[in-house]
Amino acid sequence: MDQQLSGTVAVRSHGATHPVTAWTYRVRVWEYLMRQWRPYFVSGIAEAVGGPLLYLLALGLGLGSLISSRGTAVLGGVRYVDYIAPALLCAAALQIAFSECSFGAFGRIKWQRTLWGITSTPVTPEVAADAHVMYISTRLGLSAVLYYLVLLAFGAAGGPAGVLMIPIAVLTAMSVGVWILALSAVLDDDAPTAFNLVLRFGVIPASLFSASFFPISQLPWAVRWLAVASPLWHGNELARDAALGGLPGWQVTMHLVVLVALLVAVSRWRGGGSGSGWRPDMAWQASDRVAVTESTGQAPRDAPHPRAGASGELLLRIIPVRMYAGRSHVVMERSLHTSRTFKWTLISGFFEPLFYLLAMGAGMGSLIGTVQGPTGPVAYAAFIAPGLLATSAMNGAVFDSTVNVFFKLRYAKTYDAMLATSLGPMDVALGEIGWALGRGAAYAVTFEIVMAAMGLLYSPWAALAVPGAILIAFGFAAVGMAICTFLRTFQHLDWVTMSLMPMFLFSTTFYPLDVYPRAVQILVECLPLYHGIELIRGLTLGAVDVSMLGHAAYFVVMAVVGVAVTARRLERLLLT
Amino acid sequence: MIAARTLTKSFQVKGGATVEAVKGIDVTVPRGQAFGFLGPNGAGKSSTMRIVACTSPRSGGDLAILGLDPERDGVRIRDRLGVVPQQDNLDEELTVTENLYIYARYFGFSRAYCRAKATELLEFAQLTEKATAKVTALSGGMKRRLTIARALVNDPDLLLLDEPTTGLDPQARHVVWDRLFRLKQQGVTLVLTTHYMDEAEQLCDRLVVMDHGLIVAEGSPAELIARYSTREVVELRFEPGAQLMAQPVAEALVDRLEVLPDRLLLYTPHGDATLEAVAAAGIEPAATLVRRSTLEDVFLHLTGRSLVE
Repeated sequence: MDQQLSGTVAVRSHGATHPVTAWTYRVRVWEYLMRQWRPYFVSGIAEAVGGPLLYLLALGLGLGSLISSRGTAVLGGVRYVDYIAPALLCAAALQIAFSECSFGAFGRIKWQRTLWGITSTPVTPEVAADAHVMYISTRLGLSAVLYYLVLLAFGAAGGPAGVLMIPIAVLTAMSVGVWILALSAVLDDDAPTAFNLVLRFGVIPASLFSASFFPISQLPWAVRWLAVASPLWHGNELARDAALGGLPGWQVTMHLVVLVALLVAVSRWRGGGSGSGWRPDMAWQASDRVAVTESTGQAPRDAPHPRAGASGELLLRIIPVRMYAGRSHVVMERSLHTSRTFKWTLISGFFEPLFYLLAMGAGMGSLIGTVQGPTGPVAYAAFIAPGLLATSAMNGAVFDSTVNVFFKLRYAKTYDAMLATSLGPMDVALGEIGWALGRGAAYAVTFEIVMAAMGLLYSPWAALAVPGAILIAFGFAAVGMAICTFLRTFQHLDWVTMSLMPMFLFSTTFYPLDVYPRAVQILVECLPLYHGIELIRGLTLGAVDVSMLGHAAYFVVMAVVGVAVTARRLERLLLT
Repeated sequence: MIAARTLTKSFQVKGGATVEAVKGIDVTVPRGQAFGFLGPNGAGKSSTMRIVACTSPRSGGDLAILGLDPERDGVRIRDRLGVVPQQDNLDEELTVTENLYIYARYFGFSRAYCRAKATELLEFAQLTEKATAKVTALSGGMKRRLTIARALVNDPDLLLLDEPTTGLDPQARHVVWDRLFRLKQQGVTLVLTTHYMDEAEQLCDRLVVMDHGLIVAEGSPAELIARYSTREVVELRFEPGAQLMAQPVAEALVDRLEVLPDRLLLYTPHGDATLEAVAAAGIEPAATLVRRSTLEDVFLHLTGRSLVE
């Protein structure tokens, strides 16, 4: 114990007292961020290559086959796959930037708190923020290169100048990313909700209206401003010009100016108010100077113990008592208390279908016309609306049961606290899934109201679409939460998102199953979302037969298996 | 309240190796007692506490808590326990009051009871002024008090506290101790772990000293000191390293001597007499101190190591 502590003497770089500039620190933090990303490098590559493959196959070829049959004059005479390729690249970069700048950066600030450690060294929050921008740009650059190579292999990368799509995509994504990064630095507990809102009201509508899938000339005048206001539109136009050419010089300049201005503006904001960065010193603000006052009176120990009646007594008899106390409703009650933004669920439940139906129904619909539905040719909007309802039931359920649950399981330790009481793992599982369903139900009701207002419900059976959507949400929430219990880091959550995307693209959301060869059709028929979409579409279009029961049964099985696995896993994780 | 015989707990760690955290301990805690597990980090205290809290199944041995078997009746036992975990796991998405209210709801109490109980416990934890604050805005000491208050929502028969005051400043510790004293007076059975001797001496009627997953001694604080140490201790302080020079001479003066990095501890029934003998033997320490034995000395004797390193 009495040996020298300093066996290895600290030698600072260059041997001087203050030899390093802020750039040295930026590079070092960048290096750290790159290192902590390394474990995800392989999955990052898979994502960067798999993403474009899926999109090109599904949208370029599947949707393209619907569009080419009507002619592509409105696209400027190019193939549909060539038209969307540059936009797909930009959208993919934006997606990565969103994920890194929101949950990625926020996790380091608030959940793992690694940035608090970093900024207790000479690294300042500003330098750490710059290093984040550098790291995310690097990541985006690597992904964009891979994406470009896939486009090249498909012959969808345009001319030699198409290689400029890479820096354009990085610039576009970062011009949005830095603002989300700033948001991560100032937000506190409500961040997951805020990110969800950014995604639903920012990233998703931007992707839809920004001339990604159709020229904005296809949109009504009233919504074209949405495109012009979106950085992604500027990026898409630039990238498409790089690949296909045809944009006047002044427009190129304008798009560039907008993107660069967005990027620069945030750094002024960040540097301007010292209150805008996160403040590591807050944690140590001494507020525990409570005087030791003489204790007064005694805590009454004779308070009565009126217990609320345990519900679900039938379940109680089936499930062992160590798993279930029949009190999952109090877990939902907690969610209700924490969800101060419940109204946003309803609001986004109203606007999201509106966005999608306007963009895809009106924008794409004018390119496509009618499609062959189960009851004959129907308007494109009426064809995709049930698909979108089923998809949003899935997305909402999966988000609630993965991102939200993961946070409580791994960081907030909410379930540890619950299981220290007389609640069992089954109460937790059912309570959380029940909450996801409640939100899903509210969302589905508003969605269907929008559908009704737009005249997209063709049958009285449509009344069953809401229960149908709840069933879909139940299945996905249960399986999603079960999967969530196996995840270890938030990057694993990306895998969940990655697995949802192909399902969304291929499960007949946007075009009928018969555009595929039979082999692919069988594959699609195995996916849960396919059954969800068929179920809802049959109901809203009035094509109801006995196969509906089969589709519903798929989700009943998912729900039962998911709940059972979740409860077992929670027991293994928390009661060991 | 607790009856454990040859209780063991082992974990599988990465790589397939098995770690035995608890290697067979016998513990009996009667109603109304304040019982302590004393030991350094990694002694198996927290593992034992998690088994007793029914959030961790035992690997072997017999265990009855409140007369029930945790394996079978975990939910029923937890219904009557209050648990203060080593790390606060308050709900940061809720306010201070909501933390108490919702936690009480987890036990299945009526809304009216939960509201009344939350108000009462806010008072108890001296947090009434912070009722509507977010948990994240509380200091460490306040969070600890809130966690303790939260463990009381069900008027537990048995309160488990895992290192209740680790990381708190002296003032905050005294506030927590004061609250625990009051509970003790009301007849609540307390089981706590700590690696602070003063905490154990303050709060515990009886305690066990754990080391490497085993119980190495058991008794009241006074008994343990009487059995494993002398009445007084002479501390001789030196420049680090210099104590080794004086060690051979000092060893001849007393029956037992401990060597620490900067001092020698001489165990003796009569401190002043020993100090005189030290001076007579020509030892010249930088400073000297005569004090009564504490549990720290007991621990040194039993394990040859300090509790807080």
